[in-house]
Amino acid sequence: MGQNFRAFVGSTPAAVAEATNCQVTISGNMEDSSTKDSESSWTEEQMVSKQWSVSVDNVDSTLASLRALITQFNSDEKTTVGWDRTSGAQNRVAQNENFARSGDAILNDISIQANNRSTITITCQYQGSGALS
Amino acid sequence: MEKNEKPKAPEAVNEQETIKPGVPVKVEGETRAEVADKIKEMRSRAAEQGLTDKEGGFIHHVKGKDIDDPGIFAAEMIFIKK
Repeated sequence: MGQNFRAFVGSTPAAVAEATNCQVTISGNMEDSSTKDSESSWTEEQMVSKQWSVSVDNVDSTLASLRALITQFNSDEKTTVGWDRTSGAQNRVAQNENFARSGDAILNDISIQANNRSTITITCQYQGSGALS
Repeated sequence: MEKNEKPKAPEAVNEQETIKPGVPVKVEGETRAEVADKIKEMRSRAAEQGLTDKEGGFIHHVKGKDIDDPGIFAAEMIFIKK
């Protein structure tokens, strides 16, 4: 269930509170290494670099977290970000699955969705800096 | 003549300490698997004391002091009464 896959953020990483969605992206940047010597017209791709990011949507009707997020954004500082399956009373206890990973990341995108007669949603994207471990 | 010294009392090891409700507990290890095992052990001990996880338990890498130091893996947990 998607409910039990959560993002963890912070120097002592904790599950992001009031989250409604999270998205993890791990991707490789490819480059065509084919040359004039290549014997077909197909590209010969090789991965030249890798990147990862985590995006989290969370409900924040009082905007209590926004100031801290802007401060973090302005600081350019890295923080620990990762993901794991969770359970427990508030569904915030990490289960240490073999797919759980973490790494240093920078908060590089904050967006606020404030529709009339609707809860406010803040979306934060953390861009990985360095390897996942 | 060498002075006779009393043998040192064994230091309190983590495994014998009581887990306090609401107080963060930290476990560390060289690998993710080692920390995962320690977390299992800690959860088992907490259950014996009538405690359960409140939050945490997320294993993360802690960088070393320099390029030659591979760092460690760590996790912090908070237990509460069931």
